[in-house]
Amino acid sequence: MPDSLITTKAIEKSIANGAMRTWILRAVDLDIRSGEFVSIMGPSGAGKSTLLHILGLHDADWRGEYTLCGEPVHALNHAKRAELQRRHTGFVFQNYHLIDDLTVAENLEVPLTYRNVKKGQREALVADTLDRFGIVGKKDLFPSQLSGGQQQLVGVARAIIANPTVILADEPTGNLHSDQAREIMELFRTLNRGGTTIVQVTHSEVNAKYGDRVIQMRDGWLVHE
Amino acid sequence: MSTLRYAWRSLMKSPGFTSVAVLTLALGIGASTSIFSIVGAVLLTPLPYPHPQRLLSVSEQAPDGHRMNLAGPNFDDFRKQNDTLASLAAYGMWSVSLAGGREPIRAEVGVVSDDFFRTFGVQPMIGRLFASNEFRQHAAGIVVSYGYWRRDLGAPADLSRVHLSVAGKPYPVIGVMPADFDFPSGASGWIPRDPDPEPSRTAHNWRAVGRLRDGVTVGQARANLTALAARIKAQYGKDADLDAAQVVPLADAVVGDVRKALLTLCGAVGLLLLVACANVAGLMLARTSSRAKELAVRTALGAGRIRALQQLLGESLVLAAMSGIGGVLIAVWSVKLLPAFVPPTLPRREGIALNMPVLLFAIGVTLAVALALALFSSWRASTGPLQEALTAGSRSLTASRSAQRMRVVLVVGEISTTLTILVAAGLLGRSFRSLIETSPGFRAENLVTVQFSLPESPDANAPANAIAQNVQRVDRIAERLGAVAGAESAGVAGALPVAHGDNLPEGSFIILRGQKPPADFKGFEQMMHDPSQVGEALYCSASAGYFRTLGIPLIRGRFFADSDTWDSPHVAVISEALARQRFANENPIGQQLEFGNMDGILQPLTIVGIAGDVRAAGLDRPASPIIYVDYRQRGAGSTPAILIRSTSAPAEMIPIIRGVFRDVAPDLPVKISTYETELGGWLAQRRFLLFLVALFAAVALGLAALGIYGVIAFSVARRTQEIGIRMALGARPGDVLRLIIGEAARMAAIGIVIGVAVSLMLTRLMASLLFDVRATDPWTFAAVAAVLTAVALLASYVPARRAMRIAPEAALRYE
Repeated sequence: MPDSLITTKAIEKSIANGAMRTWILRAVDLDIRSGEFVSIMGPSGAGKSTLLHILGLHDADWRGEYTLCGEPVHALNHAKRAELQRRHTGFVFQNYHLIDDLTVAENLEVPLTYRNVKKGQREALVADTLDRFGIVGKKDLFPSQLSGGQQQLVGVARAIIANPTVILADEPTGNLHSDQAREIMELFRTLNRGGTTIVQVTHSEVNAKYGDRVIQMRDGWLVHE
Repeated sequence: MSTLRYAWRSLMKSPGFTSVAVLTLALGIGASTSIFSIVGAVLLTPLPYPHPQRLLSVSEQAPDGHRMNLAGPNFDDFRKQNDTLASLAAYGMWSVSLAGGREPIRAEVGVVSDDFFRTFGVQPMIGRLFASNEFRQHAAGIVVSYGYWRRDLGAPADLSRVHLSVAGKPYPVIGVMPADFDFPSGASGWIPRDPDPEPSRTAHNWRAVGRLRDGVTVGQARANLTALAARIKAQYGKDADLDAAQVVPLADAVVGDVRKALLTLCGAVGLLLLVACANVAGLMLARTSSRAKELAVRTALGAGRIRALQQLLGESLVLAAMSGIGGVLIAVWSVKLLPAFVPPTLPRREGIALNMPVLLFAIGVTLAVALALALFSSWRASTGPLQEALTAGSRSLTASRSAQRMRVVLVVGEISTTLTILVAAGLLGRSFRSLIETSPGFRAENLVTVQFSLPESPDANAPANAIAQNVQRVDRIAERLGAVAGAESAGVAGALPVAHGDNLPEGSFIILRGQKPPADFKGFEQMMHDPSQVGEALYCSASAGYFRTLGIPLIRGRFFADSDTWDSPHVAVISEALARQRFANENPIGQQLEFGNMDGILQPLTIVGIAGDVRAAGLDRPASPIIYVDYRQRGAGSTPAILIRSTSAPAEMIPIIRGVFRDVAPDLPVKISTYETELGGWLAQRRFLLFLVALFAAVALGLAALGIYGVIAFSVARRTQEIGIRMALGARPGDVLRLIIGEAARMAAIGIVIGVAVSLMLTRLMASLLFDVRATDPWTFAAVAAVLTAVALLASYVPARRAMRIAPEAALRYE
């Protein structure tokens, strides 16, 4: 494993706006090492979430160079990028994005089904994760039957269940009250101490303090580290 | 009114939804109305006679339960001794040469007893009916049909100078029946029935129609006539073979076995209408759930729930009204086209029209559809999701999920209903294919058929002379036609096998086994008392060339030869089926038969050969036992047929043959056709049923595909974010494809399981319409299930592909 987990060089993203182009990211150079806990901050519209989705390989429409775990993402085709994403990333959404029609246990199982994990192993991993996050009693509940904090707990559990190299969290506590937010951030700290690299987008100074490093963005530019 | 106006405006704002819904319902309503125009005319319209419900068809019933025509003396006893009928009349149909009009034609003439017209309660349009004494005179007169009077006689008002030749005998025209009198169907005229020269209680020659007395029921008449039948049987013993009387309303007898086919059509079109309604209900659900927020806002602005529901009800009403108009237009168009498709053998087909009862039916169906959709809308709106949406508009996701579940239920219903129609079409299709592929026992291709009528011989009382004249005439025609360029061979027969299977007469024969042949018909009846020497067979008068021309193989012995003449021992060729049935353990060649009851000649027949089996009574029936007699010894009857095997396309030979026929027999009415055309006429009813059921099945399949597409497309739209999440969590495009197609596959599987169960129950009802295929034929069910699955997967593929292209960052953008 190379020391630099994520490296970007001159990442740019823009969208057509009539005859003009609106720039969302400009010349973003970034280097995140394995085991770091990095917080990306900045005002709304600064391009934080866009950058995080590019890092999470959800967005393929950008220019520049991006290396993840030593693999040059910019040189890979769609299938290879998807494979890289499955192997190394876990994503936590601000709105949790649990699948409404699936139970907690089934939601946890989803990433494993896409990684060709055998059924028996999947069940074992789900059971372990439910236990580890203290949500065994909730395993048969549907998302709508959980509080926001509980849903995000499941969201984090789902992000780590496939043992990713890096967790990318997009304002993970944005919809939670302070007690719930603290609980989630403590969880991130524990995961980070366990060796998982974490990159979070946040508006909260308090949450940012859980990390080792803060990256500031404004108008698509990386302005301060 | 303002509700309807707003409903109209709202529907016009969604032209896509409105046009698909209106077209779908219009198809269902139009198809139902068109089928009702047939069913109404054939099954529901009362017969055009006074008090038609009192008219009955009366027959005898054999001990084995099968229906028999009435024997003359039994009819006389029924008529004189019953106390439940106001009148009872016998009638028969005679295929004869009718000359004296525009040109001689081969026509059907009703031969009727006294009281025939009185039973119907119908008076002539012009002239008079038969007087009682005219039934004792020969050739007293003919009453003609309105059609013949107009078309062939030029509609003269004065009948005093109009004379016709019926089978060569002069008949004065004494009356013209009104246009709507057509009984028996297709009769060009009616002549009085002569008294039976050889009255017999086992010669079943007459059909009968009766009229109930006031206050008497059909059941009472049946009991009364059955009691009379028992009395006749007790009195005459073996001289009578009836067991009971069959008495059914005349309307049912006229319709006959068409009823089941029409009821099958009704079932198919009813199911199609259900599919159409389910489809539109699904569309309305999608629209309702997408408008949940609007309705919630209206509620928040003070609209009561009833007011909000009024909107949905108004839209249902406007939608159904538009569809009703569309349906009637489709029905107008299809009823115009129907005469080209309706088989000529369909009884009462002339009544098929878009008349007031049919329009009332269309309005009724439209109102029923409007009511069904309105009830469905209000049920959905007043329970569960919409109520939630009305009270908490923001929770539209829950509402749309519940609506989606309902749509899945509807589509599963559509699939199962469509499967039932498809299975019916599949079974009818397989039956039809089996029929076409069934060999009639001879080569049916490249055959020209020439059917004509001969006048009754003036020497009718001297059979040898009459037959000699008949044979001479037919021989000359056959010889000339057989010599036409392109004719390979020609043969003569009393009637066409298969195409006119019902025309081959069936009767009882006696195996003499060394006994002396009967001297007269009394002796014949005596010999009939021993069932061990009696058999049943079709009677077919044929020439030696008949077998060669049709390619009927000789199994044993010989066919007819030139040495077989009137003066030599009369010979017969029997079919294999008869040899198997009656001579299983003995050699039939050389055995003697008595079959004189069929042609009036009591000379015994010596079996000289066994011919290959022919399905002469119809392709859908087993090979019949047949006794072929040599037409040079027994005559070819008054309506013979000549079959010509051509070396080229038979249709091309028709004009040439017509020319030669006109040359050799200018005075004889003739019908020249190809055998395949004649066979096609026989198959027309089955083809018609198959065509319509297959059409309905195709439309239902299209609607089901549309329904599946709609549900899956809506599901993809609803699950865009979920799909985005799944892709963000690592789903490959293939995983998404499987997810979406799997949804369609699940719907198809449930629909198919339900559909198969329903079809297994329903298709049993149409078993009598099938041939060579069981109502539960597993291949048909499997093929239909495979087609439905393929259509379901195809219909879901387009939205599934759209789902595969969902980009996670786009789906998750609006966090």
